[in-house]
Amino acid sequence: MLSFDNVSFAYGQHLVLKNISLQINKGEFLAIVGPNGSGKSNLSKLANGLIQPHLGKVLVDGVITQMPKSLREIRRLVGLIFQNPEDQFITTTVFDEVIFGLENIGVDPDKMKSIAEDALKKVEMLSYKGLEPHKLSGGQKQRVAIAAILAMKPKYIVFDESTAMLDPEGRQNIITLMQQLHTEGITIIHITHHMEEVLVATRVLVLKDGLIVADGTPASIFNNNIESNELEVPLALKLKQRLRSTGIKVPEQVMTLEGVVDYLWTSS
Amino acid sequence: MDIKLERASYIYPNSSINSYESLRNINISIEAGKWISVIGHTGSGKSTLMKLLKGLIAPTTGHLLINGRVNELSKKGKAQIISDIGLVFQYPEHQLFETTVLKDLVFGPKNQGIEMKEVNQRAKEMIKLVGLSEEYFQKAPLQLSGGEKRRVAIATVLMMNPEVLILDEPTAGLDPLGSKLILQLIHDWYKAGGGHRTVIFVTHEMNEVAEYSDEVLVMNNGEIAFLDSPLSLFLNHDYELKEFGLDTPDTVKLLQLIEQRFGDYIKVESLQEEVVLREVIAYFKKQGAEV
Amino acid sequence: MIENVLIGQFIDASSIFHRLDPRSKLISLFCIIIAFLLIDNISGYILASLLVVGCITLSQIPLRFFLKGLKPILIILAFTVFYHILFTKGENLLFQYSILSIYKESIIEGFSIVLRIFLLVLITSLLTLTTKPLDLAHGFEILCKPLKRLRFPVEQFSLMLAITLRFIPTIVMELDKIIEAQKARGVNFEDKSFVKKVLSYIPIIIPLLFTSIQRAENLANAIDARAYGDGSGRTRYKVLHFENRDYQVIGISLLVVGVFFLLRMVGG
Repeated sequence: MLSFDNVSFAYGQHLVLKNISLQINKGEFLAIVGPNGSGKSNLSKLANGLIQPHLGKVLVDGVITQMPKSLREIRRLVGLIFQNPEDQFITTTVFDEVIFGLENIGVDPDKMKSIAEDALKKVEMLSYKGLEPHKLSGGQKQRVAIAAILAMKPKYIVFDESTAMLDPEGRQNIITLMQQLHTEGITIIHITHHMEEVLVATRVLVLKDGLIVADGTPASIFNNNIESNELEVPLALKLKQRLRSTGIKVPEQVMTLEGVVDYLWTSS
Repeated sequence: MDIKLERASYIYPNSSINSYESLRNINISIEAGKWISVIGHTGSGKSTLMKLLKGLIAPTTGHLLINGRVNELSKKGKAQIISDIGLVFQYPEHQLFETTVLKDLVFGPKNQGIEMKEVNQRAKEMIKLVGLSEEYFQKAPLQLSGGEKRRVAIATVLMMNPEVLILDEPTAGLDPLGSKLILQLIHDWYKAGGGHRTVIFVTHEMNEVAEYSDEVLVMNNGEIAFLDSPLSLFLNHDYELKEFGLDTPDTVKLLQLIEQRFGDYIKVESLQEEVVLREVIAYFKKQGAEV
Repeated sequence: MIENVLIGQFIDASSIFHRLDPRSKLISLFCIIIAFLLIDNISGYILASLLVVGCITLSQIPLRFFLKGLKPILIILAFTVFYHILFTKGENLLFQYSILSIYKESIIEGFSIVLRIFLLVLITSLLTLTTKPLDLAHGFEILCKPLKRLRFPVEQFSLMLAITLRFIPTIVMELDKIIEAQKARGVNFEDKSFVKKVLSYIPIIIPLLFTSIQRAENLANAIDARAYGDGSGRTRYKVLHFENRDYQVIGISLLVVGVFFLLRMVGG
């Protein structure tokens, strides 16, 4: 379990996170949304000890992130995928990139090759193994970053707006990969501005001005907070609202266009 | 201003990292007053095409015509920047470099040699157009939020009073509210031209395409695949778009789902959200009345 | 622009030099540089030139890649020649006009210095052309291990070196982008006056600096997030092995130093 206990974080005088308490359970697919500057990124960096809370504490499987000795293990357990594909490609080839993390956590050199190749196979990048970063698209680089994290056998992966700089195809690939990893038991935390990406999550957190303003299933969030949180409302929900106001009672839990049209078909 | 490319190509040197972004056999005519969205996967040549239109690079073969006239320098294979076309690059806030917003705003027109009085007047108009106040003039660009920086960066290009505005993914990386503000300001600028201003808008967001465009230009592998109205493109060529790795707007998905289920094609005059929702609701009201 | 960047220009081939351990290449290069600095007569130059030509042939790399490395220093070389011809004095006066006097010795000296620089640049290019940047950094790291006792951060320095090489293409692409964007804002780089020319580069340099700092920060986060820590307790995937050929090459290099030393003692 990832838990934030009364966590506050500030840049100088500016409080970015205000007394946040939050538990993220194993097996969850948590989406975090909220306007720029709401503190989402700080939450992700706190999760693997890249930054430390000024008040409160962050615990990963019961281990506190402030302990310098446990940092390496915490960073192995909580993988972090950033927004910019170019700036997180540290080495000169796809294969070396996966090896880098393995070296850091002190894996036996004889086992590295097979671990790295398995991870690359999982993200369908094995055939690109010898390529340099400037020969890859943004989406491919993000997949390599995911492989580099997977090779370290994490329990949690935080995607910090990792789909923001990708084209639709690249984005869809990453979302599919997230869902696949989630079914394999990895806890996924996905920070995004794209509401259709939020719909695949099991739980949604809305952050605003350093506070959690909503926490629940996608259905409950969108049904109750549609106007208030400056969220982009998906077409399916607008349609649902309009239909409800004309007397066609589409159920609350229906979240997609398919769902709405299917409901209308079966009820007509 | 009418822009035309005739049998234009642009080939990057072989060793160049960008070599896959080359363009082949581009024929296109862009009339004044249109809002044209440009879509295509990464590396399809969109960015190269934008640079070609701005005159940052000269076509390897073929011509760029402005108002029907071939650019003399481009005949000799030399690039010449076309000052009446404004180009907003991806993440344009990275190009802000002055100590104050005002200095960055006046940088472009000053390079063009425009009188200071006129430049200051424009600065006052533009800061308002992008939804900020004159108090921002003396702020450092670095102090602004991401969305504000983006708006200032777009204003630096509008300061040069272009007739055509090219924007390369202007909403990338912004939150929904920030994106909405950007789209609104571009639309305001476009409308203020009274039908003389042109917008060429590169995006990955199909809902933005459906909402605003008169025409959609689809790039694929360095060639123009389609140039069509959004309605006809998305409803008739959705299969090809999928092949190119491109999505369709939500409104199109909705219309198609209804067609599949109910066998009825709901006629709409545009793919804008409001228009489609209105027609769809009307359709289901009628359905309900019949049941 | 990217084509003009030479640093880290590894050219793949299967020559003896490509197969050597980077450490033996570094040691040998060090020996050869010393040997070349010992040259003080014509037979030394002939022998050194033959050695360099022989090595280039063995490397299986086309000559033009070596010549590319010489291009940037041509002006300095030309300047050196003229400086020596005009300002050093000797015994055999060849030509005199007012205060200008040219001696035979100064011509010989000018050209021999240039030849020496030529040979040194070529032999150094041999190292960078036949060794992957990361291998080079790795070899460097191991050779510098003894410095760790003096608290010199050898691992971090080696990672820094590797990242610098990795990011050169990225920064060059960024530079291209900024130049284009500022051209679009009307910057004129063709201005003739020196002051204006320098000023016109400010809109390029400042954004490049800012984006590079941003990049560096992102990169530091990415490295930390992959559990790099302080670089200690790491394992290495590639373990460098000295083969017979490595000992042979180092032996030959030492022999070369001896020969050039003797040549200097004996005199031309």
